[in-house]
Amino acid sequence: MAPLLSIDNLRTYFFLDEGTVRAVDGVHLEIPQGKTVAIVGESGCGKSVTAFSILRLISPPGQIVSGQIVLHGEGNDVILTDLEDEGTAIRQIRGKEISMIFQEPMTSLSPVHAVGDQIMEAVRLHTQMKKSEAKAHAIRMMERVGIPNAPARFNQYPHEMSGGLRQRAIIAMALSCQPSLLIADEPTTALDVTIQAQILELMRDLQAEFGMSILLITHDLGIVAEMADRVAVMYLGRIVEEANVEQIFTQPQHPYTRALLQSIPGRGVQPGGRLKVIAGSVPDPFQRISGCPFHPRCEEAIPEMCDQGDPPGSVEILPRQRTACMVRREYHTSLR
Amino acid sequence: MSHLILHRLLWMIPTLLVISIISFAIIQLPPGDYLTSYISALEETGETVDAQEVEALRKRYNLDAPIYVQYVKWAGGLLHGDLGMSFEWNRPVKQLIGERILLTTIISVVTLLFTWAVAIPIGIYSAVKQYSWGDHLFTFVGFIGLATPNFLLALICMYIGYSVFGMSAGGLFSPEYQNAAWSVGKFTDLLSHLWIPVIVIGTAGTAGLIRVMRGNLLDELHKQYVMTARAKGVPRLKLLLKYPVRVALNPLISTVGWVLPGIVSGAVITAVVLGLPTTGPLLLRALMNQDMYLAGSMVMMLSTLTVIGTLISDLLLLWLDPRIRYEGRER
Amino acid sequence: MIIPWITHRRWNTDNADDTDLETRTDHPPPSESPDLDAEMADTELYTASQWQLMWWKFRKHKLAVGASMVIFALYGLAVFCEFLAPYPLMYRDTAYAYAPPQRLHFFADDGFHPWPFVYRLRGERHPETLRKFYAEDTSQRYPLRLLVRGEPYRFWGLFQTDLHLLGVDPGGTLFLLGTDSMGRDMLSRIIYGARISLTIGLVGVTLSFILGLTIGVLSGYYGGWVDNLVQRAIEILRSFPSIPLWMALSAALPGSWSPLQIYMGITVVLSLIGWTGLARQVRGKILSLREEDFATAALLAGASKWRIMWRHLLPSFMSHIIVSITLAVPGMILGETALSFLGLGLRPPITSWGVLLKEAQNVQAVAFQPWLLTPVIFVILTVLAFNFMGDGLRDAADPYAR
Ligand SMILES: Nc1ncnc2c1ncn2[C@@H]1O[C@H](COP(=O)(O)OP(=O)(O)OP(=O)(O)O)[C@@H](O)[C@H]1O
Ligand SMILES: [Mg+2]
Repeated sequence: MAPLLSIDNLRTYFFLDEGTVRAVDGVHLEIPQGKTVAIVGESGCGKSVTAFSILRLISPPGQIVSGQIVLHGEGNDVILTDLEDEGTAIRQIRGKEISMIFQEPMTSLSPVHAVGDQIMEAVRLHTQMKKSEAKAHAIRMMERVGIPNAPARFNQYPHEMSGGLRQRAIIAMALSCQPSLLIADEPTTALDVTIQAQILELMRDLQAEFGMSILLITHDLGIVAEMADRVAVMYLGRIVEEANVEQIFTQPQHPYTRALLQSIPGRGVQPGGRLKVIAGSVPDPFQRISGCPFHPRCEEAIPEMCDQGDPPGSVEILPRQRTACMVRREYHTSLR
Repeated sequence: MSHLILHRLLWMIPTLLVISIISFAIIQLPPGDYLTSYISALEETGETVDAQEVEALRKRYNLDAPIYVQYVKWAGGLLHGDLGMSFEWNRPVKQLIGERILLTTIISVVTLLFTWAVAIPIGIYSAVKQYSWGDHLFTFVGFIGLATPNFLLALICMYIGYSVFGMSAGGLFSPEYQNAAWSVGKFTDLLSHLWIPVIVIGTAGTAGLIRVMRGNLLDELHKQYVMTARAKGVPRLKLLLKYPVRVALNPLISTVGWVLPGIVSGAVITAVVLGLPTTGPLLLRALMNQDMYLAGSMVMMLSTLTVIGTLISDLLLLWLDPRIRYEGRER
Repeated sequence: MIIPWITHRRWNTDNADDTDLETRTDHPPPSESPDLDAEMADTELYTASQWQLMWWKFRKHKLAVGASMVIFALYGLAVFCEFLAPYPLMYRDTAYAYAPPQRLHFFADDGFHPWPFVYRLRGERHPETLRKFYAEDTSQRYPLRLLVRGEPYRFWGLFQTDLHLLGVDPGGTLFLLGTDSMGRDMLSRIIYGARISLTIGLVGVTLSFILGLTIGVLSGYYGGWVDNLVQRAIEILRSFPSIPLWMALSAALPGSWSPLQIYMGITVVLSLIGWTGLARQVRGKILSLREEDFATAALLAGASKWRIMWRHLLPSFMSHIIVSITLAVPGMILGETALSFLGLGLRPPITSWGVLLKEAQNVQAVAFQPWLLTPVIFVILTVLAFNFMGDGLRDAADPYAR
């Protein structure tokens, strides 16, 4: 299927006094039309920065230093990375073609504006609707995302709503202009488990209804299993493995992916056995590691192969499964 | 919420009562009273003082009664709007203050407006362009403004007004309007003199406000909701003014209530140096001469202003910030 | 679902917390025989690293480091003022009233002199206006001398000496900042004034610090009616406008008091309002810290309340307190200056910068003897330095600062 969005060799760096943080360092990713792609990885590996880069929300000291992000529309492609900073073009894509929802429903809405007004603002910005129409539309959206008593809730302030309701309002806001891509950056991390399930179900329903693609950023492999069609595993600013969701869970290739899977309870672990913790910790962000970035923590690393030269590129070592690991690549070529 | 307001209003009563007691006590602190210092001053110049006359004066001003009686009489008078008599001027305190209150208010309000008009745009600029050349400049100038004692500024402005603009040093009016009745001419004359006290009194406040505005806005700029609005496609300037600036302004707007009395009392020193016909110099003289009722009533008045101002500030904040409004309702 | 990798933090500054967390999970809360000493040792380690961190961050703040050096130098002036000032405090020479600052010369007709000198100062009267003015008598030079014998004084009131850091040979004058109406050297008086002006800030702040800390701790820790009473008292105290209150209280200081008593009185007056802010901060902090785990853990371990307070709560709050005191000093110094300037504060013979400035109260002074305003430069310098240092400390103390 034709991709909706393709990211090619994206590099986004933060230039700080202490040094340069290579938050995203050569990411390739395609988001197919109408599907859900999940990005997983440890905290600080660059998931959010990737998402912000798509919407061009990176501001100094951060900068997209290279790479291309293309939004494939009907007939015409827009190269997002070439658009003028904060210009009209990118602003018309934000909220209309691509929307984003954030991790913290508590702080994602302005505390001094009524929730309904904030939803309506997106509608008014991107459509020709008059105020009354926009309001009606906003209330319809609020009803659609399951906010009870929407007309009354329209005038409420964020702090008068529970976290779950707020996140619903944010989803209503994000979807009010029917975007073709929804970026959800850890949409449920701050919510409790039952609400989490409701919100995820809502997102699935809305996807079925509106047909948008979703880029889902999460820590939670359970959510990945439930929601995603494709999964990208990220480590230190790179995607180390990308595959369909079943492949990730049944035949993980990259040692990092496997370590991730072993660290969740109930999977590959005997009841009563110990969870496996990934050895070592995330290297400091200013450091550059030669060879494979994961080799200092990797159990399978082979000296003189993994710790030298450029980081390994991502190669399709199994059908539809791309992995950036030299050991695995060698292994599979030797099998052939 | 009305419950909250009522609570606050009721709480004002004991507060003011305690304040009046403390004010009176402070005024009573120095040994002796107005008459004793008056008499010793007269005796120094060699004049004789008629003991009987002194006795009569003492009676008239209740100085012979025990302190608590004096207090009760004074406080009782306050309740009826009677602020007592001034020894030195031999006139009711109310009249003396009344004459000066208009100019005091004008200066304070203009100063407040000046402070805001200058500080808020600069604060926004400094926050948005954090660490830029302009931010550093404003920060530096602001620090100097905070560090410079008011009287120095007053002297410098007076000197500039005098040597560059040929204005009479000090005061709010040119000599020809000094005692004239109010007219358009007098008013424009006032305006042309007003800039000195306004700059002098306002500078420190402006510098402080710039720092506060900058700090508040910096806190807000990095909040998630700003990013949400940006991700919605809101244009940059609109985004800035509608979201973070609006939130950052809340605490400032709500300070109006206590900033105003603050200006009134803070301007005392400036007013003395500039020789302004406002309440400040009156208070200073009264304190120095132990003009008990004048000083006591003025301290009381300024404190009452502060108490009321604080109440207004709290109510404003309640009205402006839905978060606090909500908590108030919860209680 | 708890996934271990979430707990990895990004920044080093968080490590302190992390270690804390780990040690706690490693040893479950002791129930009967508390391992108190180990617990205390942990705290020590934790605070030590906190100070260390603060110091590292502070060092990077160039402006703040510069400001602290300025403050250090100013206090140096205050401590050694007798030796550093060219003239003793009360030395006067009426022949040189209102003399303008004397210039240090490096050049003369005969070329460049690496060691500066001053010319003799000659007072003259204008033939028509009869105004006194001063001219340099270029025929007589007095080179600047280090460690000269000059007017006698008692160093720290302990022993008699006449050694001055700077001076000129007998017969010459060294008025680098001019003289006042009685022919007293401004520079010397400013240096002496530093002793009063700078200590009044410190003593005042110490006083408010002791008051604020004690009352805040009591209020926060005991809560209940104590807290209520303290809060009401603070509210009422804050309802007083500070400047009129200062004025009223200073005016109430009896004229018969000795200089030292007046000095103490003014300090007390200045710190009367200052403590309330600190008390509130301390109280708030204690209320919130009290909820936090480590206090509870220590309580479980059987430590007494007071012990917890001193060993756990205060160290973690100390940096904030230091910041607020640093930022309170300039307010006190400005307050003293203003009060003395109005004639309500210190009075001669005590010499503070404010007292010195009282002479420059009118426009005439600005126009004809602008050097009388030089003390204000020192006031501004001090206030700026304290503000910059406070800012640097605040940034250093805040682990989450950008
Ligand atoms: N504004 C910024 N300034 C400096 N560094 C930044 C900034 N934003 C992100 N970074 C750095 O970029 C790296 C990637 O951050 P990012 O927020 O993308 O992580 P993440 O994968 O989303 O983590 P999390 O799961 O915690 O959200 C981190 O090392 C972070 O410190
Ligand atoms: Mg993130």
